[in-house]
Amino acid sequence: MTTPMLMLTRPASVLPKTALALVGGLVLLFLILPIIVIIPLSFNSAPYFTYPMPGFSLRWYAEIFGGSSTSTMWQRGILNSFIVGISSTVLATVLGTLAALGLSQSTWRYRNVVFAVLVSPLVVPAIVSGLGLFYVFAKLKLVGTFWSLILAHAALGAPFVVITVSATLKGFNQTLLRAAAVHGASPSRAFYEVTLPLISPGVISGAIFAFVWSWDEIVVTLFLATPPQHTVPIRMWSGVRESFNPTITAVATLLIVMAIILMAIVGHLNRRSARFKNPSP
Amino acid sequence: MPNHDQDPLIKFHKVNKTYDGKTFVVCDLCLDIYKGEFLALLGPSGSGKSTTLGMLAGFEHPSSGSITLAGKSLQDIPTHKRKFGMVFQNYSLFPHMTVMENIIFPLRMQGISRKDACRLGQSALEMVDLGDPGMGTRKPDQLSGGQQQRIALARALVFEPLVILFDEPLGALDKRLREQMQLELRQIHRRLGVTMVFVTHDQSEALTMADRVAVFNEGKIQQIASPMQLYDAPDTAFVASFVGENNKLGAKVIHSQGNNCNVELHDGSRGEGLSPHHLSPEVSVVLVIRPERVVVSPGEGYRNRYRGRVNEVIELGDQTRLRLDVAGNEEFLVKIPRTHGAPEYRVGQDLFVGWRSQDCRVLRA
Repeated sequence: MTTPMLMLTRPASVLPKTALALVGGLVLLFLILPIIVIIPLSFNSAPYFTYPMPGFSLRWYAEIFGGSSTSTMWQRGILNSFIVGISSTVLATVLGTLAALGLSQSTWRYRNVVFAVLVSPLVVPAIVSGLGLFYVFAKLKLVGTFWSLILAHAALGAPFVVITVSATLKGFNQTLLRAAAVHGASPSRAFYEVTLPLISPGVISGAIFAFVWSWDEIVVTLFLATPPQHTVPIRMWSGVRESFNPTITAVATLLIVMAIILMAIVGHLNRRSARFKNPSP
Repeated sequence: MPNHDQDPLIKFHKVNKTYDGKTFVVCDLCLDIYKGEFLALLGPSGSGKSTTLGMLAGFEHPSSGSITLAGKSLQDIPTHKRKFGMVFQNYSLFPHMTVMENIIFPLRMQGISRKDACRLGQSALEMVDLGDPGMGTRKPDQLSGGQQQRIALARALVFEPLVILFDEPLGALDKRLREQMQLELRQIHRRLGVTMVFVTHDQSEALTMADRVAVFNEGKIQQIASPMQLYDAPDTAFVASFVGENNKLGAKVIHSQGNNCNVELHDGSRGEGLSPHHLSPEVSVVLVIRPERVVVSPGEGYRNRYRGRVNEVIELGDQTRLRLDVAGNEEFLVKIPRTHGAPEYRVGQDLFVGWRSQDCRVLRA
């Protein structure tokens, strides 16, 4: 009995603790360093990607929002990203939510197979999806239209919605639907009054994931888009290839800010849905 | 009290329920429920009582047979048009709505304006003793289990339904709270006169609250009677063992006339009791005797008089419980009220026990 007592009282774990903190810190630093490096550069007064910066300036932001031909190109890209992102997110959210609801109520033995097929875009390499979609849409004469981008992004963004909504439905108490029905709610009324409000955190997080995914998608978009449909990431990619223009650091900063806001919303929703799931004492 | 002379409000006629076509969860069920009565469906789990309630609510559909409400078949009426109130075991309050929103949910579904609904909701809250201001704006997860169940009750009665269904509603509460809720439910039933159908596996709960109790076992109703009838005159050995404590002695019929039945116990001694049905000679039976109806040192007038040996003496404050060895049953229980001057008993003591013929049920084994 003395040995465990000794182990409890001995101040032995200082070294492993320090090592853990060090390794953990390094990993976090590695993950966040690209972001930390890019953001200050977007305020650089000189047109180089170098530190130390000679001065502070908003000229690269002015380059995006100004009236020059490059500005028009960036603005067009941002607009395209929003068109594709919002349309495909709406589509993915509606279809993904319906799929998750159907799968959660199904007792069909192959429902797991259906689920796997629905979320397969997450594991299929984007280049394979892009190539396949390119062939299909070329046959349908949709390549080079917004439709091809919206449909492709919806199909590839829907898995996020299916997964998040399915997770929310796992904690959903089906007796609530009986309670709604017995107290006079028709099935559709019960869906709007009870199911939808309770799974909305999952629906919204799924939608945000789908949007963020569409927002920085590049591979599939490269296959399907012609210059009039080019989105922000495509513009950035070709911008880097053609010339080293610090404007893209400003664009990148805007993208990062947007992603942080959206992720904060997801975090908030997850806390909210956790509260609803806790069974009461 | 309900009037059993009028037509039943709800009628189950030869209802069967099977999921696989072979085993019947509910088998050939006939059940009449009268307006204004408090009917308990009592039975162990898997006895078909919850399925019966589920078919009444419309969650499940009979495989065959009919259920009628006020003479009209419920066959094609979906749950949301049956207009029942219901209280569930796990409360099933809507977690995203406030207490008041939960309670007025049935009223809103009927298209009643929010203002009127809230007025009715407040009086429903007062009915369940939660009328204090501020209660309506709280969320269900801020309330205790007992409070949540009261809210669920308020939601079930706010729209003055014809019938309120209860699916083991007190199972999740602790004992003290459960007993308190039983009495309150009973009072609310008296006050409103609403028909209540209450599923439970707790026999004391059923006996405390119900006007009538239907005892279920293996998909069939074993007996349907008032709590006292059920206790005093069980019809089957299952009911006798499920409701309250009972002593059982194996025997066979020698001779019976009407309800009177003469039997021979396994140890050869003779006895006499009442049977619910006519029993032919040589039929195997069990004699069922309530522990508190057994008399120690009975007079010569008792036809049922046996020698017993004390195996255990348990003093329980208000009563003494003796465990005896009687006619081959080593677990024979006797309850004796502890009154002034009652004799003392000790282990190993030999004594005589007896009971009146009308306190002994003779039931098919």
